[in-house]
Amino acid sequence: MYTKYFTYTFLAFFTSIATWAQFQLKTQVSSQSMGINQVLEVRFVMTGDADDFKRPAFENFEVVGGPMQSISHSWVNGKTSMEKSVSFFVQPKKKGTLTIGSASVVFEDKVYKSQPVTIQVGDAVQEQPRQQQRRRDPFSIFDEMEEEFFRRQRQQQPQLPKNMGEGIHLVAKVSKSSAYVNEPITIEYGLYVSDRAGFNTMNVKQMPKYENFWNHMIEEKQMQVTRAELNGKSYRYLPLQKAVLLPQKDGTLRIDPLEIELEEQYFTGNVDVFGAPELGLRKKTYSSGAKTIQVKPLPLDKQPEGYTGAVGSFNFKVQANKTSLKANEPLELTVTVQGKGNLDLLTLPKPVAPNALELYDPEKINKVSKSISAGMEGTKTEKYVIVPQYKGTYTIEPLTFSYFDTASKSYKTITSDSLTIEVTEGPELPTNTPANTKAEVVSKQEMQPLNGNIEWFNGNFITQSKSFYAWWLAPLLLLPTVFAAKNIRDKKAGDVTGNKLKTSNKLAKKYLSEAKKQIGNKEAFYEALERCLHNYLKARLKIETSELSNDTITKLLSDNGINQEDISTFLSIKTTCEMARYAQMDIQTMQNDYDLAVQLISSIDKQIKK
Amino acid sequence: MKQLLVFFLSFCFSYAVSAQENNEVLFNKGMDAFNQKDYATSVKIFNDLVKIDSLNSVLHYNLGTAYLHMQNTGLSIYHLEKSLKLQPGYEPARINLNFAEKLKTKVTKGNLPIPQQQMLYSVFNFLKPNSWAYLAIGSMVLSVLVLIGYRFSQNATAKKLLFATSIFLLIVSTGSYFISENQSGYLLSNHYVIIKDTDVVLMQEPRTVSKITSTLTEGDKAFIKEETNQWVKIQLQNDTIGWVEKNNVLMY
Repeated sequence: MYTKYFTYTFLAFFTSIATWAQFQLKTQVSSQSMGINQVLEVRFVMTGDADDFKRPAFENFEVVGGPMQSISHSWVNGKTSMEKSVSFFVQPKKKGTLTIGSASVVFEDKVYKSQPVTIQVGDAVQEQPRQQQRRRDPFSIFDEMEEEFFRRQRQQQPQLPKNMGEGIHLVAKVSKSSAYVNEPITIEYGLYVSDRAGFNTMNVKQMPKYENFWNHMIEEKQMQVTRAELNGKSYRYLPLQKAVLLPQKDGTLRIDPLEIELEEQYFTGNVDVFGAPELGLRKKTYSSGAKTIQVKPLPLDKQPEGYTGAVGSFNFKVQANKTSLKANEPLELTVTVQGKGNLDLLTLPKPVAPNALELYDPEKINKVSKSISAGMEGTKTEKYVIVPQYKGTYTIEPLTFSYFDTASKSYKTITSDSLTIEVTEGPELPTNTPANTKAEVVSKQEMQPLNGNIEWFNGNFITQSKSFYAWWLAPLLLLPTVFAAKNIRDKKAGDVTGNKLKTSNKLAKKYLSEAKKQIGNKEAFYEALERCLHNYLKARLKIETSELSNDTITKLLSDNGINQEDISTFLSIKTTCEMARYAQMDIQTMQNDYDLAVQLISSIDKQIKK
Repeated sequence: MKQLLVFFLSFCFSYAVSAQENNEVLFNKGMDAFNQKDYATSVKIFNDLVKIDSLNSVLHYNLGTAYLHMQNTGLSIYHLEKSLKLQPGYEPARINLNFAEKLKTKVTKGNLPIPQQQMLYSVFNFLKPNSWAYLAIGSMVLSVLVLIGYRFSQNATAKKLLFATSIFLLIVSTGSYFISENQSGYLLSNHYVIIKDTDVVLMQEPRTVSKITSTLTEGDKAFIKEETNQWVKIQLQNDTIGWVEKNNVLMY
């Protein structure tokens, strides 16, 4: 291992010796031919650190500068090299072909000589003053350079553009100066810079606010400078801001100007150190100027139902990814609007599905690109997931989408086809009467078929007709007739006892009711009975006397044609009444007396009537 | 009098029979069309029959079921509800009504008020309104006859018994009459509405230009609170009250 390194080191050493062995001494001249008034630089270059340099004689030349020595070491790829040079500035003394003799050096005890060089010296060239100066001071080379720049600058100055710094324009370009509400318009602010103008920095002083507009900035990754024409002249064009605007109300709307401050370059009139014209920087404010846009309202009279504010030109589609599926399988329903216009602001119609289909909230996908050329275009999609719960055939109602077409200036409506979804497998539709278990059992089977057993009714309620009342109430009319007929028949049959009983009952009720109440109570009963008989006489015979003696009663009764028998009965009852107050009587006799009184009254009554 | 009654009854009967024969043919046609899945024809036939016999629960049931197969939400709910009104507790109608309600796009929850007449109707529905009317006539005749019997009887207890029977029969007759009136009155008057179309607007006042209370969907049921020539005031299942135009609803 060590031996290997050793070998390498040795080899490296050897090669370096080999390079040293290639020692060279060369003569380099700045030019092979020159004017007699010019200075020639002669360099002697050697590839090693040689000693004892002996310059050539320069017989026909005059040394104006030098010797100047320079040494350079370099180490390239492990290889050292060294260069040492000695240079002289010489001026020829005469014209013609002159020879610069060889120089000599000693390197490793060897003498090396350079090759002689021949120079053609011609007529003097026009550099006289500087030559003079240089001759005076050969080391003031920087002063000379400066002097030369000034000279060049003096030569170039007439060619400078006089109107440098002019030709910057800030322009706002609007795609339309009149639009409908919600119709997208584009605005672009750009800076036109002519070839003769330039600026260093830009500072935005005022950004437009776009009041009453819904604005969307068009973002650009890089600002690219392009060539553009303005007023027939060619400019460099730098777009500053692009935006899509949607007017939100009608009328004349103003867009505020964009104001920027540029640090622009201009010529001071002086020339700088390097001979270039001196550039000054000054700040200047540019404004794009305000723009006005006439915004027209959308016609309201023909606005279709369900219009959601779309303006532009659109296509509308409703698609389902399958129409036949099993229950609990998801189905995707896509509602898409594609086209140009205010896609950001419009709302898509919502599909309406029957209850048995479970409709989930949609996934919204907007692919809207904004550009200066088209304004706003792309697609707006809503993806609904529908999961049918039960077997059956369901219809999703057609959706309508209407928009205002700016081209034809009218409303247009697109109606999608209705979709039919067939659910081939799955549970049957249940009914929602869980309380009624019987109904649920039946419902699990099938939808009920028609009923074939019909009982015709024909819808006439008999209570609504008048004949009903006739039939209903007629029997009641029958009643008085039958009763009347019965009464007549009774009279004809001469039912005396019945009539007698009836009248006596009536009379007793009328006059003897007080006494009847008191049966059982001896004193009270007879007192009442006596009073009752009195009252009866008073009422029937119309007598006013309060005191009735037996004599007056007999007289009164016989005057009214009452027979003797009744009169005596009356008097006997009266006597019984008076006597009863002091005698012992039982209930049985009271009842007998009462009945006797009743009979008496009815008998007297009959005779009075006659 | 007997001859007159016989004549009257026979006249009614013969008239009814000739009409029925014709309807029977139509009814069978409607059934056949339904069985051949020609629901449109079936609907047409049953619609004609319903016009003739508007208070027949079977016809309404068949028509509602045919509409259900045509996926016509509003009309199928209406006819099935009507069938149930005519014959409460008619199980097939209830089941099919539940199917029809599944067609609705919106679920509505809540209960509607029940009219008093409906309660009485379901209590006394074991007899048809006309049967009640016949019962009224019959019991009235009996009552009178018993009263006459009372008049002619001599026995006091028999008299009492006959009199009580007569009064009882009179009460039965009057009661039957009022029941019959209630039953027919309930069937002839409207208590509920079914919304016929989608997007029917419910107004705050019975005017075309009024504040819109809410929007109704096809098949929604509501209770009638008030009625004018053109407008109905309804109460929805969520207790919202408002007016709708009559031509947007079906009343039953």
